[in-house]
Amino acid sequence: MGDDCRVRSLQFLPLLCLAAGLFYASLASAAATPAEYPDRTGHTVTLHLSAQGTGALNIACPTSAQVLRLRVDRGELVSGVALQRLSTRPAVHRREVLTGPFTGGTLQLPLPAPRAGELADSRCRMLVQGRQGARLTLSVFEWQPVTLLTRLRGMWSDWTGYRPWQQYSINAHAAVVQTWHGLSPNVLLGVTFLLVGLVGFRRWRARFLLGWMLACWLVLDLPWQWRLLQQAEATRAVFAGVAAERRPGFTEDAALWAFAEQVRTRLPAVEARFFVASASDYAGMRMAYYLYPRNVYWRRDGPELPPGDALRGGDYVVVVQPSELRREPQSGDLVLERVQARVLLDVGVIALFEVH
Amino acid sequence: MDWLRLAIALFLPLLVGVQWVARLIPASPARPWLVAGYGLFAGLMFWPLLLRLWSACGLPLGFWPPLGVAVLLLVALRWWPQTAFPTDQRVAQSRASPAIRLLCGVLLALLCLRMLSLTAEVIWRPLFPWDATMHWATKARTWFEWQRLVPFVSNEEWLRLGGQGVFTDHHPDYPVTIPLWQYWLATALARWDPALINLPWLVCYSSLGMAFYGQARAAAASSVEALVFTFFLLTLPLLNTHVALAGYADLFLATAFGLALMALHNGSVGGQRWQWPLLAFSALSCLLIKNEGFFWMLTLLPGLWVARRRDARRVLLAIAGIAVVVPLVLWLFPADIAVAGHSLYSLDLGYRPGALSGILKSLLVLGNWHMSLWYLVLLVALAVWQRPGVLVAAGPLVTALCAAFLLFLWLFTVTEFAIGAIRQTAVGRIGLHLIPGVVFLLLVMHGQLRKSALRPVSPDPAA
Repeated sequence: MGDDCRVRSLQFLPLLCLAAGLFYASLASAAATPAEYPDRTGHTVTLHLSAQGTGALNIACPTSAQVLRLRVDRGELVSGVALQRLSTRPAVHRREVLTGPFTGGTLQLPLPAPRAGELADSRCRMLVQGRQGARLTLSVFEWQPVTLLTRLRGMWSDWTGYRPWQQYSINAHAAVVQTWHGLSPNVLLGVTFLLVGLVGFRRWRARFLLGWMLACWLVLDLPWQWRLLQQAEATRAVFAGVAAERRPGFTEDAALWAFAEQVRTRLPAVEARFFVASASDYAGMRMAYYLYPRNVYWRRDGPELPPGDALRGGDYVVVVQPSELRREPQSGDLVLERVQARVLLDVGVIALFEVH
Repeated sequence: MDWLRLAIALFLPLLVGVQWVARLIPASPARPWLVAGYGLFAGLMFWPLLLRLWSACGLPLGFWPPLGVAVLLLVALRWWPQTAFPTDQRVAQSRASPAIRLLCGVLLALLCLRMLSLTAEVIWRPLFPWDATMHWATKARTWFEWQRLVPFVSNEEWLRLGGQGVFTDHHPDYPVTIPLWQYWLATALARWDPALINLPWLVCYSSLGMAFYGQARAAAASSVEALVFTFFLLTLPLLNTHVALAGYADLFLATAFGLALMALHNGSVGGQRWQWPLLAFSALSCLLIKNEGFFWMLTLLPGLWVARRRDARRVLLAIAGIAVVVPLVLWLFPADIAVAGHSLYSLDLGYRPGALSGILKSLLVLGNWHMSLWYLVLLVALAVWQRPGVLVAAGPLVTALCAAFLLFLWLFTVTEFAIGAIRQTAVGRIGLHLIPGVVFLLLVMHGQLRKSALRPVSPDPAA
């Protein structure tokens, strides 16, 4: 009897082995990098940006937080790059966007570590934004662990890299903008300044302090001066030689300005009232500015248009997308309470209507 | 021809300011810098006042008629007697070593390079930052087209009047000094030039630097020290940005308040009574630039109170008094009464978490002010340790700046404007108003530390 039981149990052994083998094979396949996310270390890759100026590159990546160092041949055409780790659980892809242009050609892209409780995923995707249709050659693809030295190199690259003027520039100047390295030259230099300053003051008094302060100041100021020179050169390259009244046509407001110029040509009289409507504060505000010296109404943080009885015949409405105002699907006229507004000019994202 | 008209439009009004200030300042090593700095700023403030008066009298605006008045004023000032203040007799300082002269040369070269970079941005880049096109240049553009100062009203008032004879933008109640300069230069050019209308920002930047250097010398700093601290001031990144991306009024308010603080300090030191008219004009200029200038002007009052008798206890009492009065006012003042465009009701009082860390980030972590606030931290620590007599020597300046900082702190921690600290959208710009005064305080504290190190040690009476 005992021998029969042993024989029966041994019959299940191959099945158990098969099950175990399948189980371990599934684990191995989950850990192995799928073919569509190849290891690109040391390789050279050509990336074509789409008509919208975007491109993506799949890449195998380490399971820990690292920095990807790579070279791009035409970094001045790249306006933004991000490296994101695809997450198995939860389905949230984290990334830090680095803004260009990258005139030096070398990029250091941070790769975040998996979150606590998250399975380490070795699939990553590099997202690139730049000039439409551009052809970029990416090379080197070197992974570096996030050590203090890597952070310092990242901080240096961030600090000394060129950044064009942004709308937030008038509110704050940040010596560094990337968060992955977690360092600030102002804090590092400030702490060093305090420690050395205290010691030096005890020995050499106030004159040392001023000299030491000047030295630290110059360390912070020279990169800033360099960036100002680069930005001045970029400004000159765009605007010098262009007639002053046409310069807005070479900025990010070009479409708004061009539309205002069409309105100026089509409706030369300045007495009429213009209502600017947009769900975007920036778009509405800039459209209103380019329409001055006309009698323009635009309201920030409020309804896009005043109540219907505020509008009357002879008024004009300029709608800048995004907007929540509705249009007749066939005629394209604006749907308003109590009044009709017929479309006069429509360039897609901006339209001019005349109120009847 | 355009450039000639532009030059005349810019320099003739400024020359009126320079001539007026020259009547106030006696001979001293600092005189040329003070006359240039305060004079240019006086011209920047005076000219829009003249245009407003001209318009209020019903006279047609234009280019040549107001300039005719400027010429008459220049002639009148030429014959105006010099104010009889005693000459400032200061001992000439010894010649600096070659190394120091080389350092000064390098700093001056860097300042020239800075000026060049900023000038390139101003003359080429059209209006760029947000507020510049939201409520400053809107008025200038409209006045230039209509060639009269048509009124701007609120959105509601505009709707009520049907837009008849009135215009509107997001801040119709803001002072008109800035847009009047933009209107004036557009009139000089006879076209709307969205870049050249911002030349006054370069003038303001230059006037701040020259006035600072002059006041530093008047505060008994050596020429090298004065140059170094002027370098610190003129190379502050956020201040530079406000020149490069011209169109905001914050640079002008920073200059007005800074010039007032410097005049307050040097006027209270003794023997510089001629500083008081400079203080008065700079303080009143704060009202002509932005609504919050009213509050900065008020912070000069505790400084003036301390100036009557400078001792450390009076300074500490004034600061403690402000620290108590501000929350009391916020608690007791009627919520619906508006002061300088704001009511307590609209401020939505309540502590905002995250605001303090936003303020610290703006002052110490971001690159707005380079090393300035780190230097202040060190100097305050040394002042507490060494006791060099800063409170006595700079009591009025310390009191006014502390009052201003307390207001700044309250604004960005317990009002709706705390969002400006959390998101870094306003705390830097408002901090800019205080920073010239802070850099001047650094100079004064440094000077006191230096003097305290040179004081002879009293012999031990027990020996």
